[in-house]
Amino acid sequence: MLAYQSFTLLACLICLPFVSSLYEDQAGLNDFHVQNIGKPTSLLFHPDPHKRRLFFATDLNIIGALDSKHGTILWRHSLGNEEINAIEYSGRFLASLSGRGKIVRVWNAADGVLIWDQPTNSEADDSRRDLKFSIRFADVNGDDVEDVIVATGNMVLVFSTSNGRKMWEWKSRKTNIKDAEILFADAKNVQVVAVDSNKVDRDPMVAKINSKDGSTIADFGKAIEGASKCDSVSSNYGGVLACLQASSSSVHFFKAETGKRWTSSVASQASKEAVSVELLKSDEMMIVRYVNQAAIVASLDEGTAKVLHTFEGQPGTLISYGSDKNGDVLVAQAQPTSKGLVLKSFHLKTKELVTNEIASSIWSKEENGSIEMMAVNPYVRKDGSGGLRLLLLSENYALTLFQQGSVLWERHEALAYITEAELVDLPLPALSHNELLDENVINSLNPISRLVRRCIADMTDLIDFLMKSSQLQTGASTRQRAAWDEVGVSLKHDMHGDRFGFNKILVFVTSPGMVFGMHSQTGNIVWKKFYGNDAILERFFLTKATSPDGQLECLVLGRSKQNSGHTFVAWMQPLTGAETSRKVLPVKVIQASLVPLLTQKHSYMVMMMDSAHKVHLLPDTPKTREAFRKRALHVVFYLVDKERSAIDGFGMREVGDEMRGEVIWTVAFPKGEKLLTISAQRMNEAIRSAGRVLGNRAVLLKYLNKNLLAVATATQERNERIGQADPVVRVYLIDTVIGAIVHTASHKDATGPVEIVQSENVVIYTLWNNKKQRNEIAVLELYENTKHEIMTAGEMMMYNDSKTTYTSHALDKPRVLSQTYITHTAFKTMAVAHTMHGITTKNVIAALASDQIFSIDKKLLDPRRPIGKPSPDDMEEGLMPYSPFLPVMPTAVLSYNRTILQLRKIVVAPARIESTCLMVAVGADVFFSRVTPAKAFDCLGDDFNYTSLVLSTLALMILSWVVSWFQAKRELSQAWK
Amino acid sequence: MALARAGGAVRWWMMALMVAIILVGDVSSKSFESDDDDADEWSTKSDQHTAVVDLEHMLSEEDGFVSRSKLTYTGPKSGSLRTKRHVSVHVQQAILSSDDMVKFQKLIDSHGYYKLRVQSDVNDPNSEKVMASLPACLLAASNFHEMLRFHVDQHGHIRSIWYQTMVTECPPSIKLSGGKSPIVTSLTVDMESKGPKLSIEPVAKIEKEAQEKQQQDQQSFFKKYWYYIIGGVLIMSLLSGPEDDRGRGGARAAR
Repeated sequence: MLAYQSFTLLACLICLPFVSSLYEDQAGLNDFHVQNIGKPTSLLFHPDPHKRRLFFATDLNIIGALDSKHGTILWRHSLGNEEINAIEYSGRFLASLSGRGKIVRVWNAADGVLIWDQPTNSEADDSRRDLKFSIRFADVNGDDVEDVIVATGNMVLVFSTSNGRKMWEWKSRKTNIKDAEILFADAKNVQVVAVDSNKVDRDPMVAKINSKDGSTIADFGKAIEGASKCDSVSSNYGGVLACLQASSSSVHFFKAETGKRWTSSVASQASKEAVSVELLKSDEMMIVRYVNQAAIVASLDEGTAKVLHTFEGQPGTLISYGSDKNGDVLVAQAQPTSKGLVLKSFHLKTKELVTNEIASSIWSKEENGSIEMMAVNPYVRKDGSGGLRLLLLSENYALTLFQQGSVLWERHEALAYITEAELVDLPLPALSHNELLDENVINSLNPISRLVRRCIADMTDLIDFLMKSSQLQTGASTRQRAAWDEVGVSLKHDMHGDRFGFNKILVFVTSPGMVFGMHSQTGNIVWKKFYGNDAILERFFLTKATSPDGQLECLVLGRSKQNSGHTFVAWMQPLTGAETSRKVLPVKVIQASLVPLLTQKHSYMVMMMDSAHKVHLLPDTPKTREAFRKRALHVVFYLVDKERSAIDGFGMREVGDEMRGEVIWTVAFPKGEKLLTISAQRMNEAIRSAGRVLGNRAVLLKYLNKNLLAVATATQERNERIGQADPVVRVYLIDTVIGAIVHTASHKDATGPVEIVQSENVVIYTLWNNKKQRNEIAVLELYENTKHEIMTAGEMMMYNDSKTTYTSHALDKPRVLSQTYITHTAFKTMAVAHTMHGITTKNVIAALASDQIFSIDKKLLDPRRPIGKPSPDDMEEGLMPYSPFLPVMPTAVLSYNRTILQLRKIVVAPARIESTCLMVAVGADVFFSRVTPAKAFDCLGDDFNYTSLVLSTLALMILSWVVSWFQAKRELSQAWK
Repeated sequence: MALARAGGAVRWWMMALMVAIILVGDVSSKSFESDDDDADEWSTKSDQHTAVVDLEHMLSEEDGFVSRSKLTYTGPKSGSLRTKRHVSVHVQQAILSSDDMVKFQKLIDSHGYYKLRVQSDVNDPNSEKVMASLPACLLAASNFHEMLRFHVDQHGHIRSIWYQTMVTECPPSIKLSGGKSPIVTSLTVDMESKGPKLSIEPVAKIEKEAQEKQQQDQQSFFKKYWYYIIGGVLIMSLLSGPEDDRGRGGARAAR
């Protein structure tokens, strides 16, 4: 009985870990999600520092709030294509004006819940991108509750903050009004300042509206008599309007509440000309900036302005101000220097000037570029003393918050603008055992010494393994610098490769000029490099992806900023971000591609063609030129010209000592047929078999053409029967060696956007069915038009071996099998999950319109799916019966409950094990995950319970010992009977 | 294995070309009829539109593109309701003169491309040119037997030229014999094919139920109430069984 109870207890203990949870705990185990906001266009600190809120609107049309202490996102919302024009904060609310002044929203500032939204019916010109709009909180009906006032074009609207009810709307009789801004608002009147859109000068005009009913008191008229040709105009919350006349160094003022007008002279600063005036919003002070970047903080006194402080000027200097919860204003200046950054802050009340110097290791012009925006947040500590938080937006889109001169946090918003992404393998330390695989070593040894060497090598590997395991457990403090690491990144991050190939460095190239190296296991930035001072980056090439010594190489290519006709090239080590060399080529490159020819350093060459069609090589040495010249006749590439709606194919021609590209084919689409998207075959995709075995054991031979380009176009075609134009989408498959259209699929009553993806002999694309008003996904499978029959597996293997080369000059048209399905949502982009050897099912990874990532089983996108009841052969082949709908199963959503904002690109790379590939999805956010299209069939998952395995084994051993002991005892007792 | 396969392909192409030559004779032409759901009528001559354009070739950089022969396109007239898309393309046979052959030899020696081009809109001489080319040696190695496949539509747009020969690899050296040489053209016309449509159009649940109900209503009296009839017959037979026996018995007794 005791033994039975013990056994039950043990069994329960063993089973306990298996029933702990399902999959929720796996979230974040093999994936990471980096959330970004983009480049801020507006930044507002919450006046109460204890609320720790920093409201923002960005050029990616994201609105939200950051934790000002840690820099984490508290909440955010993407408004899609709706440009955010203005934001304003008051009390519990954050108001936003978006869509070219057309939609006003009020959000709960604490959690970002939308309280209401209303259209404004603004008539602002959508074609003009330079228009300004204004939104403000003010009490206009005297109920002590602030209302939302919106000025857009020649309209002013007032909404109730609590429920969004429109209280009144005012529209000027003048239509040529732009850049309207609320100058003053109280329970009596609302005054709006704007400029004439037909005039070049920016002379302010003011309109006065009755606050009660929105009736006109005075339509737009000149605000300041005698002040014409204003070089700069500014206003404050007190209803003061300022107009700077640079020629006379004078500022003309107008006070809306009283109608008073006066003039101040700001001629100072060693006779330098003033360029702009900015009134402090909550104080009767102004900042006047001069040509030499110097600035003064002065009062608005009549006659000569009283200067409170003068900031010296330096190139790249930026001045801003902020006020604490008591309303005390602090003006701050950020000044980049050769030693880093100097931050100066001047307190208007105490007249105290504080200077902080930031070392170049924290902020430098070389690594951050210029300062683009600054937000100042002075605050009052519990002891009554003042503190300062200063947020800088640099040219590299880094948001850095300084508190009393030290960095509190930093966000790299350039990650929201990734243009190129590549996954680079971390080098795997070579095993000692590997040397015995070398035939030369084996042949040089006799059997006994071979055995001894093998034993020693195995022991060394075992000791290494144990040492590394202990190192991993002890953490970063015991990390040793890798042999290839000249920078020291391996001391901060785990830079060891793993046998499964999960550890990689994700290299991201961004449009602001930042290049990042991110660790695939942690999502931490391993290294970063800024090229924005020198170039606008366009391309990235991984020229040396593997090397046993870890000496990898990549290069970034872009247009030089100093001369747009020149090309900038920099070589880097992708594991450390260390730049090995750079140069500027005095040519304008129009095409660049990796050539599968190796240099002496075992890296691939990059071929570039300039605008004069001259071909350049990187690296350009006599040996690389000679190697390229030998293969030049086999090099063909293409250029897509969207303006001409044509694609040109280029071959190589030797002219004297140089190689030139010459057009050898042109595919031209009719006028009005717009090129929507193109998709090329992936060159390094592994293909398992050249045939597809059917249920009856017959084989369909795949039409495998690595040079196949899928092109989608859209046009309007006149339907003569109904006498109107119908939209048509066409998908062309073009062989890019000879410029032949091998297949066309035409879809009437269809429009874009079209997304295409190719893999092996499969082309998958999405479109919008205009007639049925639904999203559709079509699949084309290309097979050879041959009578060739393969009946046995052996024949298939022989065929696979023979199918390693082919020529486009002997190309034939394919036999195309196709099917279409309905998708419940549009797909933003697609990719194919390809693995190491191409054995695993090649699922399609799609970005849904809801910014989630969805894995589509290839079986669902099989054009051989039988319509009706499947035959035994169909069942043998594993075909699913046709259904017009493509199901979106929640379990197939790779991003589970996460939303990857503004998802636009998915990059897939194989791991070192067949079952798994690695996927990185980029948009405003970055999401990385492992993908196992056919489950992890060749490895135990990370969540595998090794403890349970050991315990089970031990329990079974104990149990068998107990049972045998009882059995022996029983046999003994029976023997005595 | 690859060579054997290439050899097989060459033989296949040779046979195809022989058939093509027999079919085309001096002038190569090919027509294409495209399916159209909306139309089922044949076009007549009066509905046809014909355009003749230059098919140009380039033998040397200095000369640039020069006319090689004429290409005749025949397709339906714009605005015609008879939209069965019957399109044909004819290419006049070209002959390379002795001078051309000298230039062609130079092209071969410099590993150059022999290029062909034609305007992409047969009705617009200023339209983009569609171009295709071959390594010059391939055309020479195939004895100037070329295969052209034009991708056209019923509006007179030529999108691409698929240019091939039977030979797929250049021999180490080629020396052309002097004198004229005709270019034998085998021509094919390609038109766009329709993209896949939904194999089964889904029916909304309400519509489906309505259809089923309608079908049910349309059923015959016996189909609709067969179980009542069978039930009734069974009950009737069970109830009437003993009475029959009694009747029969009575009858027997009467006999």
